[in-house]
Amino acid sequence: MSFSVKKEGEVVVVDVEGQLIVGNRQELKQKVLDELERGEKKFLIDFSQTGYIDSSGLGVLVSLSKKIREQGGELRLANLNDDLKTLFELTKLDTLFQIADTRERALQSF
Amino acid sequence: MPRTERHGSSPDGRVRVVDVEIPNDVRYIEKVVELVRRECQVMAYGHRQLMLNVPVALTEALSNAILRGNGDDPAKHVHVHAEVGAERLVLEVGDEGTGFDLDASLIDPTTPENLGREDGRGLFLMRKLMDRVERLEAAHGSVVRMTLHRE
Amino acid sequence: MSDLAEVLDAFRKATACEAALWVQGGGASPTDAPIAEPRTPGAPKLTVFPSGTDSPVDARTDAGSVLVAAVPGPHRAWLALGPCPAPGVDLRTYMSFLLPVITQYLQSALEVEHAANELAERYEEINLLYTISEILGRTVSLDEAAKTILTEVSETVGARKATVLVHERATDTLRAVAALGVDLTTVPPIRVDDPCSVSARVFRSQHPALLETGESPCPEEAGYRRGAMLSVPIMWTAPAPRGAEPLGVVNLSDRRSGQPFTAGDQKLIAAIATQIGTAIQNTRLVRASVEQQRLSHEMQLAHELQMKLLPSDSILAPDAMVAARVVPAESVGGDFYHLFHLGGSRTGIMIGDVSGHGYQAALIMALTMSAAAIHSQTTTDPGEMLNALVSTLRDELTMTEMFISAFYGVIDPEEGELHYANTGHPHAFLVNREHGFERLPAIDPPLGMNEKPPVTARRSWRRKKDLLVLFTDGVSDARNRAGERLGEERVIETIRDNLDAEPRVILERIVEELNAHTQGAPLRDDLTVVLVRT
Repeated sequence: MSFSVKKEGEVVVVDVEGQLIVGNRQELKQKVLDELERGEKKFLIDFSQTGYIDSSGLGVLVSLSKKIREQGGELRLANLNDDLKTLFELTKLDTLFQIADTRERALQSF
Repeated sequence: MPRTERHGSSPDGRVRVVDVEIPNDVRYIEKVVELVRRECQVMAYGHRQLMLNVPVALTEALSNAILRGNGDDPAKHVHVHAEVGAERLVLEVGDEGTGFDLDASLIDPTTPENLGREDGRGLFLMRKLMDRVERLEAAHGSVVRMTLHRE
Repeated sequence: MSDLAEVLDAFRKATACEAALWVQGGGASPTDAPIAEPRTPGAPKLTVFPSGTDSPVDARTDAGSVLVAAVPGPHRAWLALGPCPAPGVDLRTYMSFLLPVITQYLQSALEVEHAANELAERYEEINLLYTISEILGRTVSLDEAAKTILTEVSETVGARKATVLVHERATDTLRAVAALGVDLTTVPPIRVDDPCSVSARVFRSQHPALLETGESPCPEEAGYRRGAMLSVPIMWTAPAPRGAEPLGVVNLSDRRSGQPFTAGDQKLIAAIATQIGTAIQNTRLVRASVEQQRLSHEMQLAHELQMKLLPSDSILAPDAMVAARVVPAESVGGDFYHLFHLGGSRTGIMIGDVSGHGYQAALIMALTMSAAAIHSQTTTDPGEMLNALVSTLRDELTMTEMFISAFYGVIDPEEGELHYANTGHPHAFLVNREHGFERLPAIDPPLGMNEKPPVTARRSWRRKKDLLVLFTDGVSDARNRAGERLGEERVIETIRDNLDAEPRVILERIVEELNAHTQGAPLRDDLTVVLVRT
């Protein structure tokens, strides 16, 4: 499990490879916060290579979305598979985040 | 001298058991989840259960045991016992703590005032993803037992 | 030897007489030995070398007359005194003073050399055992494994000819499956009742044979015997009532050094023969399985393999009283236990469970059993042993994505200590009247889950008082018809109620309790119990 960060235009794109769970969520949080501190405003987290997410992973996403908004930035999520979509629906977090089907659509939405 | 004793077969006797004890460390969660998930795969559990219900609920139970039950104490241990049957899966996660009241921690994280909270979704997910969640007292701590019927 | 040179120098200064030490070169037999060489440069050439029992003899050299005496002891060395510049010197008196000093020096030098050699030899043996465990871990082809093992072994003991013969039941003959220094296809089968063959005799008697020089009178084995020969039976310990049975014979001959084989060589080869036995047995089972290609049969084989690999619980007697039992469930699990003598009165006790089920789990279990047998003999530290074990199995575990939960304890009753490592095994206890049940929890996760070497913990251990209790979840988890579990508490109570009884009796009580509870309901998982007292 790892997180790769790259820049596409003005958007910082983070790929979550493997699980986003209690054991590694801090790593994701730190990576995004570092970029935010550097003045980045637009963030996209891509879940196309993600296995499963637990409650603490969800918690980190909620926390990041707040912090990004506080800095006047925006966060988008993309490429949730059916199981991850169900997870977001169960927790009603699908109403909290802006979720796009594909990376391209997410990038266009900024 | 070892002796072989064969027991008769029975259709409901088909069960695969995982029984391990791990040190109290969240780093082992993913491996244990894989172990259980693989047995579920062999027993032909559905895709959704393999990808969502089992891994997420078990991860929640494990992190609860490690961080809350055992208070993140590295000297403590977590006992994982999974029975993967043809009809249902029973997951038991035991810690060395005093446990917590499952009902008292019942907050609904989906209400508008709670939606922005970072925590409080663990038990909610366990209940949503499993058919039954219960807490048992054990001799040396407490056990959370979760049951899921095979799709 | 520098000290020796100083002694000789001191002698020259004090007496003005020459002194020289001669040592026979090479390690070969006396008959074809090269002539002795002087250890002292410039010493006058000697032609007379008296034997150890002779008194010193006078000898003439180009430089003048000298007195020569053999240095007593196992080394073939001579001390030569003279010539002296002044006439009338009593060399015999000097000899009677100097000879004991030189003897002492040579003796201690020899001891140092021995110790160094022994260390080097042990190192090679350990290396060899590692290599073999690796070979056995990587292959299921007997011929390939036997050939590789043979090459390694021959290298270590310096044998140029070697064979592995395996018993073929149908024809009651010993057939070569691997050969070194002789073409495998030209080695004829030997009938087990052959009166002249050494291999047949060793196979029949189940005892190794150390033969000194000479050629084989048997045409069947003439191809692989030249000079000294070591012939060791390949034994297999099956569960009673069959007990130990010979599977074949390992032969080594034509030693590079020309020396006979030693008891140490025999011990090493016997240990390796056991490993070859495991390989033969594995191969037989695997081959049979491939032929059958049916899942149910595969399962049955896995069962048999599993059961056959488990040692008899009497093997640690009289050092330890052990009661052990595995009751396999309908679906094959990976439960196992192992018992080892570790020298002195120390004993090693292992219980484990390979994650996953079916044939693959049983095969991993078989590899674990044979690798554990090897590694337990190379270290008595449980953490180190399990670490060596997982290093051997790492590739298999990674490939099959399996883990092994294991408890390995080493009891040293002399030191009064139990050392143990626990990688993921949930049910291990140290039990006695005073302190009741002490849980020995998993200090590390199951083998294969991380890279960190397992930690060794210690507890004090008292003879006759302490009981080591190990079992797998199948015991506490056994269900009755209503689906209720027996429970760990009931198992513990049963042990507590019978704590003063022998392990064998306690085990019977547990089984009775279990049967009373299940009332014949089918077992859902393997169950294994091991009880140990010293």
